[in-house]
Amino acid sequence: MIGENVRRKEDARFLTGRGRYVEDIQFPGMLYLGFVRSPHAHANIRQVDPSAARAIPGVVDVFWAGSLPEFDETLPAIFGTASTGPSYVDQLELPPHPVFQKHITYVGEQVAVVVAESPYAAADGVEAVKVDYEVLPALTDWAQAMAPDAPRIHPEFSNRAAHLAHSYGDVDAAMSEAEMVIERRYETSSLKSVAIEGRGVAARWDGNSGSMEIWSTTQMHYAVRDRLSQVLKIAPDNVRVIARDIGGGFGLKGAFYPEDIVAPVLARHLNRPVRWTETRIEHMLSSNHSGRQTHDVKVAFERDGRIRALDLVLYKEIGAYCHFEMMLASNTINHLPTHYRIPALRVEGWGILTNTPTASPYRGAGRQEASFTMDRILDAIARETGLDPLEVRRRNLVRRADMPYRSGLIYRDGVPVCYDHLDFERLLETTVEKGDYAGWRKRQAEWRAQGRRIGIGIGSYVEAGGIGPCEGASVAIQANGRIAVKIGVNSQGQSHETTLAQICAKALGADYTEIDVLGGDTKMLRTGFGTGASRVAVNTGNAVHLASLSVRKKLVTMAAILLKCEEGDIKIESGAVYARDNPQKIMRFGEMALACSRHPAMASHGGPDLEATEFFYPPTVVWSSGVNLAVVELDADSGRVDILKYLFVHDSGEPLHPQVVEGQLSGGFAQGFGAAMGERVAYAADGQPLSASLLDYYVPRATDIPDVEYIHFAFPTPDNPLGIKAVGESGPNAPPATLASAINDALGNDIEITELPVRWNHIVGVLRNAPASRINAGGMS
Amino acid sequence: MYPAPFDYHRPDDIADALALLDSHGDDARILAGGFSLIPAMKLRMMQPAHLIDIGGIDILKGVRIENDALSIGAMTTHWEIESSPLVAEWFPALAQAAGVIADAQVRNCGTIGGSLAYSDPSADYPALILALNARLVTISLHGGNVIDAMNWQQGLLTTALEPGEILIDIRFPKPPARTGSAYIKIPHPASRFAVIGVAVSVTLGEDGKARDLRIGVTGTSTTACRALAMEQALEGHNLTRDAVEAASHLADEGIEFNDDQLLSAGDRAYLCRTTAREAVLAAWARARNKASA
Repeated sequence: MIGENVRRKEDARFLTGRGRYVEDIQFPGMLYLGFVRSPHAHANIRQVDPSAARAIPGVVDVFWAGSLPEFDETLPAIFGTASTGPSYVDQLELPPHPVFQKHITYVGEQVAVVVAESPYAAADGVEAVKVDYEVLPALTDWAQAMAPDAPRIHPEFSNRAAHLAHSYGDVDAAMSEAEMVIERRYETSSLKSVAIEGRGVAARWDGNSGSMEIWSTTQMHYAVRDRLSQVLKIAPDNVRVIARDIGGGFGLKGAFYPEDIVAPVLARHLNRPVRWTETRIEHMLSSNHSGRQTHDVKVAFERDGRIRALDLVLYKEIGAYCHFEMMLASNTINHLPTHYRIPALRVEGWGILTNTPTASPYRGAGRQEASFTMDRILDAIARETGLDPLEVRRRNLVRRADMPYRSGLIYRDGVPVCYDHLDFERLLETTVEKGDYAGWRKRQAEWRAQGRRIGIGIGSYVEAGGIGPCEGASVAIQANGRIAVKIGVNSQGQSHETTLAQICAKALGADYTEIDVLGGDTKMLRTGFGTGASRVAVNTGNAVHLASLSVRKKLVTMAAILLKCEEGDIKIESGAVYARDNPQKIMRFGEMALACSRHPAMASHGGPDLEATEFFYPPTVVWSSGVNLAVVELDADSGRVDILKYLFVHDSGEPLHPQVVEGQLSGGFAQGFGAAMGERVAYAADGQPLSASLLDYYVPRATDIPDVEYIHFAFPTPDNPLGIKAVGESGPNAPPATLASAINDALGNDIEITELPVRWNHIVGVLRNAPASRINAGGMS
Repeated sequence: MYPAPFDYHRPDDIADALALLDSHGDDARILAGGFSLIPAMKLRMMQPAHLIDIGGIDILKGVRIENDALSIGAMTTHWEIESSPLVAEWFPALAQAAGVIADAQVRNCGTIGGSLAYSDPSADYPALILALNARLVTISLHGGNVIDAMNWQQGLLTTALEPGEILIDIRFPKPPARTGSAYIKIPHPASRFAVIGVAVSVTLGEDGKARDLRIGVTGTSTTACRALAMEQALEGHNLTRDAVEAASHLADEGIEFNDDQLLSAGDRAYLCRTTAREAVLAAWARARNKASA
């Protein structure tokens, strides 16, 4: 059952248009919210004049800073993903983030909310609210914001909101002893996840029970529940957050937003249900982005290409508020070495406030930046030493014999990073062989003579997934034989209903078709920690496994009693229990549940139900890894990049469902492809967004995505009972590094690509200045 | 995304449409396929009080031969143009252009008249009407106009269309024998509008030399334009690759290009030169194929 491509349980409702999203939620008497948003990146609000808006038919009311006491509440300082151990951070000063305020710090920040009888009236009302702003100078670049005389984004706080430092080995000695030292600056742009469904929230207050029902697009429904219970001053159990079908999350929906408080507060205040659905423009303006990151590196190495030491100073633009500590920077640092040995490392990182929305994790969450920085360093060493880039990689690889390998880094759960049960050599050599590296190098030279520009690139990644603290699962056999698997996470498209049912079917001996996986609702399980950080398969998967085994144990005990035989003679298969030597003695799961519910023996098995709840606590993260190879050709006339070959070799442990694994990888590849080929959230110096719509912000279309060949490895791991690793964030990490490397290889030494995305104008710039090859490129007429 | 309130009209014939346009004046906008105007209204960048949908006026739809021209009704969709055998035979460049507009959904609803009347500076058709020497036919309560393609786009999002006028027909004169045309577009990675689009029409003269070479370039800045210097350099010559390559260095002459984060003006001029070279060669190859057919 585990490892089979069973039919996905989700498909029927999604493929027939019966998914239920927040915008499908319709309560009687519902009101709609529209937000007035700032056109300025930094401003004080002098006055809000709602009179024209209130006069519009259908507009119920307008609220802004000070209208209700709950609007002075702040968003949680750290949301969802607080470190449980040292994350290298030695300085952290977080400006509070009220729901509505008079000090505006980014374009698109909420200024006021219009409540109306229809979305049309709400939009009319938004346009009619008059706001008088005192415009202040904006800062959108970390270098400006860090300057000692820079104006402050929040008057009470330094723009340098966070700092981290970590080191191991003798970096200074290596720098002075090594034969070669290079310095580089690598830039990675901010990205927006642009899920098909934007954010949304519907809220309904029940005055009878004093409870709040929320429908949300969040990836963290328990964290939303807990914060709302504080704001509303009611018990957490009186807040029910339902996050049912969600059209993509990617980390952006793992954050908490002002609208998440505004909707329930107004639903209670007005005693009517309310709903808000984000527009695409609001998504581009106001939703979180990944945040630009700059990496200044100094690398010491020998002429044979071996790295001696690396010194990194990292600058992270965290936006106008910081809700994720230095998680993204520490992720980059902890994934930076990928497959390679860095004997001495010193890192320093700054989190710098800027006049943009908050930076938050975007699938990969710092790993893409790590792979890009590391592989660009390896290519730079190849360039400086004249060695083949593959040879530089081979010489620096962490080998099987080196494992367990402790790099000297400490993961953000406080546990030292340790590579074990991994095989980087095998991944690299498989890539080289199956990707025909030698053949492509030969063709590259031959075709170059004909004026064709071919480039070959290799990129590597590691992915620490499955971070704790834990997840739980409750498995119960019901009287009709169906099995409910209740979980504390929700899905944004990850196929939980399928893969977790597979786990349950195998451990319990149940029929896959009889299992219903129920999540995305705080009433299912009391506690959960959210979907993100590639943690559900490892955490929830193992919890389902443990809970299923516990139910199985009860089944065996009770079957022995009911069938009057020894426990050792009980067999379980396809949803039935029977006695090994007498197939006539058989009971279906439903019959067992009925028989047990009134049986006194259940007193010593936790009560009348064939039910068990278990939590899985992983000791630390588990490491997945992979190597990518790209062969590209540049069109000399347009600078267009054609992908001639793309190979994705990976180890994600034992696959629960191979198609789902490959789906994760191919979706992740598309994400990484976009980051390489043009995705970039950009702001003008005055804070105006330059990528506010999909006319300007590149998102790859299905037809842009080349064929990718996948080679799957499953190196066994003893890290958890199921022996599984993470895959959710494996896809996007290496493609930008790999494609940038291949494009740079095609362009030659006239340019060194140090920036993501690879800029079209940089490619065209090289082509423009190489007229000889351009004429040749045209071929014969 | 919710537009401001508006009244919606769907007249059955041109006379009713013109009367509505006349009575509502500046408060009204003509709605064709809706793929430019509706998004602009949803963003509230445009807030017409009256929309006059001319989608119910059948006479404005279709491709037909009229006298010595191919007449394409303003409400003909991109897909109808892309798939029309007449267009493919007379103006392969036009079929090519219609086939690379946006995506299938847009091509099934968007119209040539709507696109030309909206006059986006990066739309494809403006290059085509220049290369194919089209005439644009308008009508109003007071008569009508026939506007030369060279005079159609007047500035950013501005055409020669007068208040009270509706664009009803685009007329492409029948090409002489041994004429070839081609369109090559370099799309913007995000919007898929033309960063550079070059349309070319050329006739192979009896003497084997190029005649009536017209090169229309779109995407440059505010309006499409002709690459006149390159046209002049090649007019009356045999269009060998070397000759076209040499003349392509004139393709950007006198043209102002956008300059932004995506590409500098110089980068765009380079793309204009390489695209013009390939488009001329492709049109010339088609002209020669017709001669040998």
